[in-house]
Amino acid sequence: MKRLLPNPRRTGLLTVFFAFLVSMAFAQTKVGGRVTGGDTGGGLSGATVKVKGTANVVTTGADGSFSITVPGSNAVLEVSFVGYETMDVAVAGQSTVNVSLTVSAGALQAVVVTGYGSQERRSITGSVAVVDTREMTKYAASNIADQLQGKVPGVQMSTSGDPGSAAFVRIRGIGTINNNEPLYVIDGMPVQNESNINFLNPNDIESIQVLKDAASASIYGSRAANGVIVITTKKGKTGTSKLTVDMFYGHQTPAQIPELLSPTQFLQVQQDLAKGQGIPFTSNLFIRQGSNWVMPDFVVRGLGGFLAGDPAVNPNKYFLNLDPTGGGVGDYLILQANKAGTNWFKEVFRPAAQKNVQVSASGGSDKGSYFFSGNVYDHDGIMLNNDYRRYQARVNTLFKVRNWLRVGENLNVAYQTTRASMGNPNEGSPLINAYGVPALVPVYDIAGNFASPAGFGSALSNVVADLSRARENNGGHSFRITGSVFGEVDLAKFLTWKTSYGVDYNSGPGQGYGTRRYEAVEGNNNPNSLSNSYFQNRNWVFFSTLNFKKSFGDHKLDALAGYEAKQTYYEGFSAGGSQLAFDNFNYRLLQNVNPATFYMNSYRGEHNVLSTFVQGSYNFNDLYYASATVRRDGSSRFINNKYGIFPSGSVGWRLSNMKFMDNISAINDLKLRASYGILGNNEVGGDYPGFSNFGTSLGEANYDIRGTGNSNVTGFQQSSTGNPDLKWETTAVTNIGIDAVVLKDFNVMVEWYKRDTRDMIYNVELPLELGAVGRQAQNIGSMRNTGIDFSLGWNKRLTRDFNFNVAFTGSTVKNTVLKLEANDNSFIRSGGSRIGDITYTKAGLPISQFYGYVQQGLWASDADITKVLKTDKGDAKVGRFRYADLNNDGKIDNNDETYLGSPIPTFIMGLNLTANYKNFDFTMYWSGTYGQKLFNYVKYWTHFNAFQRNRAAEYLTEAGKSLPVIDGGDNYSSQRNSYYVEDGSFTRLRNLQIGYSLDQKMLTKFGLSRLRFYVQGQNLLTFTKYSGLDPDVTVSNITEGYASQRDLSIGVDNGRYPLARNFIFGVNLEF
Amino acid sequence: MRKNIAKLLAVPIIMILVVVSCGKDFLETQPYGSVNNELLATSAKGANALLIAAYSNLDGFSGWDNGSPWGGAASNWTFGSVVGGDAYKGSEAGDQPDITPLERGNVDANNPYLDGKWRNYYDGISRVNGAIKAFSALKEISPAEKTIRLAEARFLRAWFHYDLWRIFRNVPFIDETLTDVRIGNTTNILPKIQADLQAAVAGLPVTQAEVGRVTKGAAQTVLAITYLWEKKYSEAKAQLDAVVASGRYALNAKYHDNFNAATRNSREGVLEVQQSVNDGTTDNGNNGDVLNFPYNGGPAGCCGFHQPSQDLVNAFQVDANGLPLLDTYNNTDVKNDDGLKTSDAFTPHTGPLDPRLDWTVGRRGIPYLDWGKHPGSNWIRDQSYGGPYAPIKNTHYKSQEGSLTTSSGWTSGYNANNLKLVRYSDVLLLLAEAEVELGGLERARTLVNQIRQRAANPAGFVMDGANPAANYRCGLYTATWTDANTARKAVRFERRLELGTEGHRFFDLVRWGVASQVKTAYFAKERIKRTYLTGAAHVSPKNDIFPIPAKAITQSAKDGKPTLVQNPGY
Repeated sequence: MKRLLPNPRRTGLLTVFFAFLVSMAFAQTKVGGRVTGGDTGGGLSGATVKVKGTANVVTTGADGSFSITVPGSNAVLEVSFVGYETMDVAVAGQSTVNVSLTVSAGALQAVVVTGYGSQERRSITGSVAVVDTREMTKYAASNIADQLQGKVPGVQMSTSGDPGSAAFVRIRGIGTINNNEPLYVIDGMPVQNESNINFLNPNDIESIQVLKDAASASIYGSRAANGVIVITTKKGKTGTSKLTVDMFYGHQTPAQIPELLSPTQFLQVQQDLAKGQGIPFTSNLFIRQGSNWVMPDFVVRGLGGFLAGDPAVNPNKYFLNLDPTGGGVGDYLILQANKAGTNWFKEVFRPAAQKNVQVSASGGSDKGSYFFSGNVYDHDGIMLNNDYRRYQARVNTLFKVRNWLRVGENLNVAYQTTRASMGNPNEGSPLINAYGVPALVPVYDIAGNFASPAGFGSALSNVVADLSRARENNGGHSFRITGSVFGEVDLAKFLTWKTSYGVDYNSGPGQGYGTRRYEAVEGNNNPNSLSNSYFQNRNWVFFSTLNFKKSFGDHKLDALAGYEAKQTYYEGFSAGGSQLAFDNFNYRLLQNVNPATFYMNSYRGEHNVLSTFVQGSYNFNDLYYASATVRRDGSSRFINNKYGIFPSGSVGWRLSNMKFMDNISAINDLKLRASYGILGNNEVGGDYPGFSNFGTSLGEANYDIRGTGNSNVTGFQQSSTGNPDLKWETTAVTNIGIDAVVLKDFNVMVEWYKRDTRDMIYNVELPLELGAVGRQAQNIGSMRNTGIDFSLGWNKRLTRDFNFNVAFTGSTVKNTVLKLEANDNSFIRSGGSRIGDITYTKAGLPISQFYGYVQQGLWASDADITKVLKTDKGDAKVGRFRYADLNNDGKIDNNDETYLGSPIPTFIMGLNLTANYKNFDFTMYWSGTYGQKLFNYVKYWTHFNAFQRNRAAEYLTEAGKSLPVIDGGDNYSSQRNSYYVEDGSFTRLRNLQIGYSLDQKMLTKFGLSRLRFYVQGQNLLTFTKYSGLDPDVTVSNITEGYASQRDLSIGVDNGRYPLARNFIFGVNLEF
Repeated sequence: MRKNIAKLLAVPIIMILVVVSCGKDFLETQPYGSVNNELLATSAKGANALLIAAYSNLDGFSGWDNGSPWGGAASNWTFGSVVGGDAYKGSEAGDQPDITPLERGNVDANNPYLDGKWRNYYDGISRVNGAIKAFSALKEISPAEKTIRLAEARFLRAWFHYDLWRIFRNVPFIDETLTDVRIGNTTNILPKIQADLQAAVAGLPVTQAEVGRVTKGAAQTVLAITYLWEKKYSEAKAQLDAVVASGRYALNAKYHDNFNAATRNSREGVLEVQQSVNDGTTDNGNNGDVLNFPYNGGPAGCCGFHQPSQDLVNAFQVDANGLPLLDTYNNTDVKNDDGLKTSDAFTPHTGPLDPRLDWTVGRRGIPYLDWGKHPGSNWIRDQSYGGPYAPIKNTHYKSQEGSLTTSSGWTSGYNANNLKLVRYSDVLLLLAEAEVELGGLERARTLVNQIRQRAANPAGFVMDGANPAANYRCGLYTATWTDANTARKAVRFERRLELGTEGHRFFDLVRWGVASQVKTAYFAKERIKRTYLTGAAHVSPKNDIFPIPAKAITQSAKDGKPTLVQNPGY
């Protein structure tokens, strides 16, 4: 039977044959050449080269090279490749035609991965931002969030310079007072509740889609309320195999070093503090000479300062008892005062290297494909002894077992270590210590041991000592395996069944060791200590989908039904103790601690979700589009309201395909789209919010009822107050957008959205008289975000050798808390600090407003004080901050505090400029965030009378001008007030890059298909009025505290890891 | 056909996978490592554990969520001792600045120390109520044990409420019957406290097998104090007489044995908070006072708070007969090293002093337990701010490091030195107070002399080698007391000397109605030495109690309106 039917392939061949015959009639010429990507300069394998007006077509090889027969010297080649503009090139008598393709502006033909399947980009009716991963990966970084900053309209991103640290990613504003972390879906595997996806190698990423509205995200239902970032990793391509090597080396330097008091100024300040207080200056440290005070030559721990020649500073008296189990009594530590001044910032923050090597191999045939990569990333922080390393490998394979059956897997294995991370930027952090340790303290004492800051001021640390010890801790080791196996069965041409089982396994040992901090100001007698911990997070996701895809004439129908089960399980333990007899590295095992000091802990928990979903989309002749999704999720976190239903719908209209538009040549493509839908959020800050339970606790519930003095009896305290009626938090999103291509070269996208979050979950504080049990998860409020996202692109080939591309993204957002009922109150206070809660979240205002007194200069005179503060002067004094008596009651008290500004930016932008000239490529990338205020809490330490510390040079020079008169008794001026609140707007040149690709001819001799060198400068310029080290402040620390409460105190600068300026040299090699 | 079979097989296999992987209970998960109330409250083991957890709050610490250990400290070193003028905040100006407004009399309702106190004690009350409910319903327990446990619980509930009452006065009384705790604070809760205490007196034995459990004597004493607040002197006397008559208590031979971890739970302890160390945590070892040690090279090394005041030190000056200078004690200062470096020469005060001074105050040149002589400014964090003195009653001996102090933790200040909420000497002095008001002046003198006799024991002096470290003198009141005013003055003064820095002072001043008078005089003198006290004032009745924490008022809202009312003047 078969033989009698016409074979389509033969028919095709026949056509080619006839075409060949036809062309034979003319002069036959062979033309060779290479197709490269204008953006990377790399060869494009699989690109189509067609002789225009004929059926003569070839595909480029692995290195982008091709050879084709043309009918004559004036033939024209049509060169096309997915993601690039199709280009016509005249042969013009040449035998070699090299073609550099320009990246397609709209890339409307591209297929993008959205939900459980993929979709043609042109038919998208929701809000899906497709990230240009080629542009993205140009910015050398460990974390994709760092690379994505400013690239996607509507997405605010920020990372700290702390190597390996998590990222702050907020899609379309702050959607809730609860957890705002987006959902990451990596090759179909949702990675739950994660703010750090460092385990991914950015170079492995094929595509990133950001799903911003309900229509596109509701297929992910639960947890999709904060947006979804869909990441697809690279697969091998049929017909090509290649090996790539990418390497770079970066040299980072601190972008800014603050100016602090010199030793002389420090002495001046100490005297002024006493003077301001009206008491005679006295010091154990400085030396009185007649009526003057001078700096000591030497300082003896505990005894104070001495001049040279004093018997007390005889080096023979120096004694340090290094007994690791405690003691320290009898130590006699002598240091030589550093009168020139130690710059602690320079001691702690210094140039550092960043290294990356990555190798990948990929290929494929009609039987399957493979992609393999290996990566070693070594990032030293600009902070002393601080580093992050990643050893990572990925294997993605696909086997086409039958023409109806495909099986495959994606596997990523990453081993990561982090050392001496700065951690929470609290007052004990190296940064705050670098500010605080007086410059008179040297790093080392006369015997070469760490110098003690004891006697110089308050509880400060020798930061170099701290960081040296932190290096011995392998604080963050983790071994993470992420991957999935899947099978796809074509039940019919139009019906595909896909099943996937994915795991995300993360585990790691942690060891902390503290050698005795003999130089510490407080706790210098503490013994050494050891802690060991181990954790394992074991998550799996199983899903099965049935996908129907069929065209009926002009009607295209795509439908999907699916089922998903997901488990998140975690467990771990920690144990430790102190007083190990020796400090030797190899002696550090738990059995070697003093048994009396031994402790242990373990924990475990799980969270399960069960979901079903259906989705349908309809496309009429690429003119009208409609789609609808319903997903039902059940979560084990809820008791009486387990299930949430999340529906959405969207429509689109491609106006440019309407007849009446045919004459408008200026508009090449125009699509209107609108969507509405509901998304869910069940991140409540715990997995068991429904249960009221009791637990024991050594320190909080147990009691030594028998009076032994060294043991306790177990007690049980209520540890949680459950709310069995807790239900899903939901977000309704309305999205209206326009996509257009005008005048061929301009791409425009504008979207308006409204996100309404209802039933926001918060751990509400109940009446205090209930005791510690008084926090309960409740659905308490609603919030609205409205905004506009837009992107503009201009892409032009100016000459044959020169093309130019501009991409501008911008977004605005307006956030309003509509309702809050936190235990009958309409506000939540947060951001606790030495000066109380800094931020207020209140119905009617945006989230996380700064709160405090309004500062208006200084109290000028007693008459000034008396005039305003008729009722009660309080601690007001001439020269101290003058606060506004807002309620005019003649005194300054809490009733005079008010809202001082919002940390929510009004506009976020990104500007990407790329150009190619011959073998050179050029990139410049700017990002900017505008309109946000920041609360510069670091100033509490550097600009006010807080503790006996070193301070900013301004503290002395601005005293009595913009700052209060120096006064050791002044705790009045440092209260939370508008002085701390600053404009945080900034524009930053994040990336400047120049690359050069070697000529193909030369490379071929060495068997290479691509060799490119580039230099890159990161964070070269920042334009800002902000006085702190880095205005890129979002949450004070992205890993601090419960994720569910972070956004209640954003914009507070507690001392960020300083920004690094980075110069990078890199090589891309391919063969 | 073959491929169709394969396809037909694939689908069921997938279906089976789905079913196997997700059982019915997939969405029914329960927390690990904890139990529910049903399980606890229906067993003697569980009910006892609930009661133990209530005991655990006696130290004023129930977890960081409820405030810092020092904020809620049961010793009341802030609310009683610092505010009462026994001590300054101490340390340096910037550390724990929230104590300063307490000390200066200008505290506002947002102060976290108020919050800490409130939360810790109401947490304790909530724990007690859980235990009371459990024991009340419990069947598998002997009636005798049930009576005792319920009496213990009611004592604890009374104690927590009493401490809140004396600090905030207008507070709600939360018992186990309430379903909504938002009941307002306009009713005097003293009768309810007394009802609990009476029940505790009735139900508690004189001694308990487990030394940490409360006894009849403790309940009687606390009940007596509440009567004294109400000036019900004969009711108070009856309870205190019963404590004395029980024969269970006696004064330790040496005054300092009350402040030594090695001699805790002696016969002088009427209500002691058990402190334990190296029991897996540092939180049970004198947590509330862990900041109150010398600084730098001194014992425990941190953090220099609770520095005794010059006013307190001066009170220990005595006349030639070893009797206190009731009216003139503060006319001249006991010599101190304020303004001197350790390397500067200094000779301590040579005038006669009550020997209890050097067990109450660490001062330059005097042996500080077995840590050597106090070196002056080297052990002081910021002398110009906090003065020249160091606290000592909560400090451990050097020889006890590691055994009666923690072997781990950030400071060795975590020690097993029990906190004495009620000592027998306190009982005797309260009884003396009642006697004075009831006309039993001679009984009062006998009681005071009983206290002084012990203080005068030379075996209990601080020694410098073979000799007393200072010119110690402690005489008895030999002349008959005929004038109630003089007797009252002597009893009250004795109370200050005997219980100095132990957290009673402020509440005594308020109870006696002299807070404004005494503190005004105190500020007038002290602000010259401690300039941050400039402008400090105590205005009665406002400053006799502290503001209700703003957070408590906010969280008490019902239908949008707070049910708790702020104290007058705040």
